[in-house]
Amino acid sequence: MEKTLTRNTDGLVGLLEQHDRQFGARSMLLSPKQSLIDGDSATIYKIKSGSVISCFRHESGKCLGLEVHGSGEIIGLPMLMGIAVPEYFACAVDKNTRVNGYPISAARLMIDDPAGYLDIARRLAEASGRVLNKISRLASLKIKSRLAWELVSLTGKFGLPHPEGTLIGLRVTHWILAWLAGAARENISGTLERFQREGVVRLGRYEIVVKNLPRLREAAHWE
Amino acid sequence: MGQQNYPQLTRRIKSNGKALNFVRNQSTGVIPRDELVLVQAGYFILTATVSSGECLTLQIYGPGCILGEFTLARHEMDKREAVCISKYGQLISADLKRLMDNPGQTDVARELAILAASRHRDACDMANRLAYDRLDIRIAAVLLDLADKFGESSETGVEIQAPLTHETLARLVGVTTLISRPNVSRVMHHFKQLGWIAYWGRRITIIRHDELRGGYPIEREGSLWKKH
Repeated sequence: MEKTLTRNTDGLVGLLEQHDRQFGARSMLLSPKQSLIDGDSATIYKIKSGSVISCFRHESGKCLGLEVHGSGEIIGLPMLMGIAVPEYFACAVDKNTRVNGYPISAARLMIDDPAGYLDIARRLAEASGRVLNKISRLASLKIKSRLAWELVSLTGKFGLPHPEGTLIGLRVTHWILAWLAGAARENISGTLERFQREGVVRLGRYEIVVKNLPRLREAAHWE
Repeated sequence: MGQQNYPQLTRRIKSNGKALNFVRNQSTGVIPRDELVLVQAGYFILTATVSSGECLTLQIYGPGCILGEFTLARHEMDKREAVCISKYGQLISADLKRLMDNPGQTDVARELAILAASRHRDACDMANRLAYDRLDIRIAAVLLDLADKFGESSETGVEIQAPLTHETLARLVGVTTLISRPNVSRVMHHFKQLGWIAYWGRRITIIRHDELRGGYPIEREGSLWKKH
């Protein structure tokens, strides 16, 4: 899709530059309202730097974090295909998250060929596969294991070398982990403290250092 | 009933695909990469074996439904197979490359992307419900969804044409070892007692849509779980 989105862009280079935007931590990129396909005002985003969490809002108001996206990833593809997702939203995780926003009408023009659509279908199929794995964890794992799984996953994707182990290179907050694990924040805080007592992680302000990855993998039933 | 609005894709699969017949409980085997399947007759459940080795039941597909968009994933995908749940079933299976051979492939590819987006949304919805909804609400949601897709009006209500056992229903609402299957039968029995649904054999009829949609019998009754 990246290739597709930068193809035939002679007339769109200016447009893309205009839509270079910066978001602070917890700022909403896509709100549930935008996800209702509000004509041309709906936007898809390509992340330039920082990270973004995509979520699904439950009718009770609780949120389920689907995944954390990093640099180069694109969010909002279902909307690009005209599928209304009123519960979907995305917000920046890191301070100074930079993105390129593509108005859907412009993005549609850019992908209007078989290869472009097939690329989107493939990306969505892969995203659905990841959601399925989340479903499997929600159905069969307890909160402790789900949290451990998310920490292992974030370590793999955003991990940075650290004297004590691996630093998760994100502005990690308990609410983000709660969304990702599909659990209440209080439960997540308690479980994190337990991990810290066991020497598996070290908690800091907006940071987590994974000190014992094998132990975390074990807790996550990570295969 | 079972309607899916993908006319170009449907037409291409029909004209390029191969028909395969199934009987109850017969599986397609793992659906290969870049293979698209149209349900011509009967009802099928789609199961997925995810990386943890667990087998999930994802969705029921009836006549007119297309599946296989998941086989487009580039990475090592979970293994999915369709299992016939009606007495007889027929699928038409076609390779994506053949569908893309002729002019008009942009429309076909666009419909495929829309299909993938729609299924992604369904998967997110399922995950969300599994995370935060109680079992009775999940069961009600699945019943209403099936009535919407495969329902036929009858004198008593809307009859779901797909044959459903409590076992199938339990798998559709994500019941695993954490909540035992008998709880699904308990909820179904409770819905029946309330007069919201009726069932006999593998047939389920939705009688009171609104109550099922907005009802929270456990909160109202409070004692459903304590009784057992």
